[in-house]
Amino acid sequence: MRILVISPFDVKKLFSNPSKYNIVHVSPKNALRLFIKEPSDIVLAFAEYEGSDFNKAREALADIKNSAPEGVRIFRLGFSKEEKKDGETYLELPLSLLDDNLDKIFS
Amino acid sequence: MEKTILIVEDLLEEREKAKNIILNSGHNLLVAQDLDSGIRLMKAFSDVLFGVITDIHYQSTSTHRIDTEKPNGLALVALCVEKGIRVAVCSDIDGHFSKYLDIPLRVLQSHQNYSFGKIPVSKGFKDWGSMLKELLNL
Repeated sequence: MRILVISPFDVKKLFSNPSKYNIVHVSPKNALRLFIKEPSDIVLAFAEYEGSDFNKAREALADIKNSAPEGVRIFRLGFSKEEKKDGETYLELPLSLLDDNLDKIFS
Repeated sequence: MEKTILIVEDLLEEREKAKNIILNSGHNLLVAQDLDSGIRLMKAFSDVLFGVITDIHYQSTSTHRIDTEKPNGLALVALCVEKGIRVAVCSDIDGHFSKYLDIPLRVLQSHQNYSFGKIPVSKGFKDWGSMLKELLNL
């Protein structure tokens, strides 16, 4: 299972090493370009931080939601569920290991 | 060979129809819901973009203060023509109300930057399949 993680910083520590998932990390700027060429089963987008990439991350998330084929599961990562928007699947950070949470979601 | 196609459509149901048709044809797909997103994606993917299929009536953005009744898609068609990008119009506007489109589209498709000779138009109902086929044949 291929998981695309959109984040401006390294996300390896959020996953087991080695992870049972095929984790692909991409910056917000390049996320849509990579996604349309090589679609993923799951998209995790960290779009809740301060900085110049903030809008790019939100844009990338919205663009991928619009362009994603049926069946792609898209989650937004963030620090507070109060930020969750209607119709959005939200994973709250901090998480020990994202793999564990994904296992629960898929079970 | 797979092509990258941008569609601009505000209605979810129509976007889903267009997505299914284009993805099932084996092409890469970009989707925008309004004029600003359409222009942004068109510019960002200009190096790989094969063509655009656009609806006519959809939102611009809050900053433009233009409502959904306005033919913002015509602005996108004009930009495609100016930049020499293949474009097709997929609209459900009926024959009587679509009359106003005929002249601008005729003028635009003869623009010196537009080398494809034709801007395919679907009226009456949104025929994404036909418009994709026509776009690919330009």
